[in-house]
Amino acid sequence: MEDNEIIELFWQRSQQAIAETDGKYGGRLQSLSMNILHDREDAEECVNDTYHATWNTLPPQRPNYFFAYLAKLARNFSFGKYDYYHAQKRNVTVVELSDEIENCIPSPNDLEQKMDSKEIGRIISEFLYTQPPEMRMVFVRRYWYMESVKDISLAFHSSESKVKSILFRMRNRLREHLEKEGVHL
Amino acid sequence: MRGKDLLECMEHIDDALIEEALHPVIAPRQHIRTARWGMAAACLFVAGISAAALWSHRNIREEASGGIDNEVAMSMTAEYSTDVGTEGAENINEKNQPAEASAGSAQPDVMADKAENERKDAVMDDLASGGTAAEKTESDNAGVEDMKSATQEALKINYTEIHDYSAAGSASSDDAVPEKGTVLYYQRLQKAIEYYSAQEKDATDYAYAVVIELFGDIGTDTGSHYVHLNQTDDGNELVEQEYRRLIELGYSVRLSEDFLLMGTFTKEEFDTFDACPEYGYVFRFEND
Repeated sequence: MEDNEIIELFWQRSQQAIAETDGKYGGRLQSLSMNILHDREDAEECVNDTYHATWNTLPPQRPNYFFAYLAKLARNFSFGKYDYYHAQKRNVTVVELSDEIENCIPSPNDLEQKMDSKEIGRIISEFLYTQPPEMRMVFVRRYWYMESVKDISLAFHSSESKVKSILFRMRNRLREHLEKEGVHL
Repeated sequence: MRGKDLLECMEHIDDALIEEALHPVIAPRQHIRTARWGMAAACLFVAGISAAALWSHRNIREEASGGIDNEVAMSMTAEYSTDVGTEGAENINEKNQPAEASAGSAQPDVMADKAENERKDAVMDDLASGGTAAEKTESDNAGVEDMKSATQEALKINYTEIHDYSAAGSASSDDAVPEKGTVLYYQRLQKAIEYYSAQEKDATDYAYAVVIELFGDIGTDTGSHYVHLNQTDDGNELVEQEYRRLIELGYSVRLSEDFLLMGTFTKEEFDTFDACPEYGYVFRFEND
């Protein structure tokens, strides 16, 4: 079923909408949540929370990119659960990715400027659109979907070293771009 | 925690980027491998075809030159036999056939041998006289033509190839456009032909390495135009066609990668050049 048809089911308040969404995107949402939480039950719970939130927000919302909409919800729930359960003991993947992406953060200076996360997200999007499609897709798969390098290399039919090389270059470029935009977290 | 903050900022990137990453349109490696194997197989196939063509071409040439040697040897034997007043043809036959075949036990074979010997005699005469005696019978013509081309090939090996003629001054550039079916020569080439033909004892002592510029009709939106075919990509196909025609006529020509027709011609070949009525030709040295 096409995304707009599923959205239409949500708008019609049909229970079928959840089943169709789960059938089409359940696996991917579960996988996304698992990448953050590394716990099947927690991941399932996050996916269910996602469906619930979607049910509550459609209508009035009618997203252009349905999966991105679902995935953002699932990612939010997953990070929320992560923060709740792992306030003291941080998850290995999140630590690893935090350390990696920290390389993108420009060093602070006197004119340090705090920006809200939406503005930074816009700047990152702007940067990604200037990059070659394959490179930006690898970057998004790593830092948005939080997939492992191995999974990305499988998805893109390339070697792990190539993926690592792409990520390294992208991080350097993003740091330069954030510096240029005066972003300091 | 700053890294984690940035990681969470990623949440706000465009939905389009998120969707795009979900469906990478990268060629699967298996396909690339298949394509690579396909390319390798295609290369091997082309190499095989080329090798086969080269091998076949060489064989033909070797057979032709071998044929000449045999016939020359036969010619010498025949002359010797005639001088001593014996039955030359039968002597040759005795050398080439098993004893029982020449002993007369099978009359048709003997008749066939005689016919064969007559054909050989005709070829020998043809070689000696320049090709008139060979036209005795229709059935002999194919063999005689083969021998003639082989002889010409053999003769060409002995010529001196002229690439330039500095005595006529420095390289020049003539802008004349030949009419259809006609041939023009650059001045230096013309002078070289005159000079060397006055010196040569045989019409095939010298041959000239030339570039052949081709003029012909090209169809455009505004109609057909008679143009220099080497100066337009549209003319490449016509140049190639003409190259094939000249090859079939037995001229020693070749086609460069940029579709420039080149060849080696004797004065006799210049004089009897079989110009196609659809094209105009300009012959020049490569340096002109």
